[in-house]
Amino acid sequence: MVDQGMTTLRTSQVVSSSFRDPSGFVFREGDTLYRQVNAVYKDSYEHLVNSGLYEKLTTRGLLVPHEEATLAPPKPDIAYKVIRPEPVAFVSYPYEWCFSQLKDAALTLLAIQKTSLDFGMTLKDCSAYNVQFVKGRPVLIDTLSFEKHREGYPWVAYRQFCQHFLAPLALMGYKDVRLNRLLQTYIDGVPLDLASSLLPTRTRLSFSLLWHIHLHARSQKRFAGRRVRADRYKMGRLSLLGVINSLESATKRLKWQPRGTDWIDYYEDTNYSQEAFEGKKRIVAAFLDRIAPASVWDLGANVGVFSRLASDRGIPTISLDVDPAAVERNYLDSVGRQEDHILPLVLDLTNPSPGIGWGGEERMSLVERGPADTVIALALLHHLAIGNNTPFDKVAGLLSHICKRLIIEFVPKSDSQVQRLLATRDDIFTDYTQEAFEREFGQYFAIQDCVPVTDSERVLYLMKVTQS
Amino acid sequence: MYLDPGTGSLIIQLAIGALVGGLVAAKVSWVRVAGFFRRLFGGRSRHDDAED
Repeated sequence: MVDQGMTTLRTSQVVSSSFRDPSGFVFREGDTLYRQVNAVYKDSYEHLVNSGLYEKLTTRGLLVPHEEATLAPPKPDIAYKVIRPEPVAFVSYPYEWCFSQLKDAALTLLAIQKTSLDFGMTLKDCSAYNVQFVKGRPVLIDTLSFEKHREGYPWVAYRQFCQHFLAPLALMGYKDVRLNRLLQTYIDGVPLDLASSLLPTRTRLSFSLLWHIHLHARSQKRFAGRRVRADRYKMGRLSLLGVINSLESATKRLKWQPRGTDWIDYYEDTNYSQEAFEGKKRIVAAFLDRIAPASVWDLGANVGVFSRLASDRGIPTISLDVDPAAVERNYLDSVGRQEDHILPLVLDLTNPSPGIGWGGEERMSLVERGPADTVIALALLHHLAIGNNTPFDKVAGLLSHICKRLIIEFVPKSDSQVQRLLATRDDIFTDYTQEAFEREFGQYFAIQDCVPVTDSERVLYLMKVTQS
Repeated sequence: MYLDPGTGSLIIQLAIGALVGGLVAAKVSWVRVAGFFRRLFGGRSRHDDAED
């Protein structure tokens, strides 16, 4: 496939997450992402394409498809080719994924590794950051992750798989689901000695967790700093497949269910009637039809009922909630219904994902990944203003950075959900009024519409950013 | 102190490989043996290709 002719790249920018791999790097030219394939990777790239592995993996939706571009490479002295991968609508990170998203990403990489071996190749890295959710399903986005498999060699990405996937999944499943946040601190996956010390003793009774995590951590400590000649140790094909099968069955066996909660309760804990709920849906749907947004972020989405008003209209929708159980339910629903346009993610809006990694810019902050065309913030304001002591102007300021238009619900103080928040704190929120809300938001937004929700005291607003 | 964990990971992988490699071999042999008997008794051979 041919690009728009040879172009000289003066404005191309190497993407800050792309510096470790000598095989190539990602750069941006205008709005399009390209990948330079370096000359050192020529053999592997040709084998990937010519062996049929590329076609097999892209057909099965496991690897991102790309086209070869005739764009001049930004570093021509080391270049072999420039490719243009199919774009990923929204980049998300493993510390924002729920349990099943991390698990599905892990199983995707293992499926790729097994198929690769059939074609004489192997994955040379197994970073969770190489996986992105495209149309709701995990896809490997790093075309340069493959190398020719040398018979007799072990899997070079074994340790990375354990750190990026098996350890955090085991911690989430056996200890606490919130431990996925460790991935935000440890950018190359959870150190195995840490995972081993946090996991309950009973995990030693599981053959795979005993070996892949506990004894693995011990072995790392025992042989730390010792050099071994890798070529002295040969590993037969059956042993290699055995290791991968063992990782796969260990991953499949890991489960997580929220304790003491029934999924079904997740939308029951509301204080308004079915009529108000349906009314609210109608108003949001009418707003969406009126503004036809190009993208939506639903903040405080719970299990995604309102997000689906957008995603069912074909609008790419990110459905964010702080509760890992709600996000898990939301994701499992999206998989069950084979939805293409919704991506549920775990996010604490009071402490959104920062930029992390080298120079703090290897992985983007949430704000950098915006702005969304439209933010939906329903039943959220009182949690921020009263639950988190955030003044209206601070909330409005942040929202004006991450969207161009806003659908927001005002929940008055008299509402029983607000009263519940106030039950455990002094009411210092004298400025929590509809007038103050309109005044403070008016600094950043123009109010375009305001519709009361029938059978409730709540009001829905449609706003447009005037100043961010 | 930073110590490269690569060596220990390599060694544990070899150990696990030695342990579980036998299982894969047994499975492969079992499939072959079962296939042999199935053919012997005139049953159709089964194509376990559901993944593709």
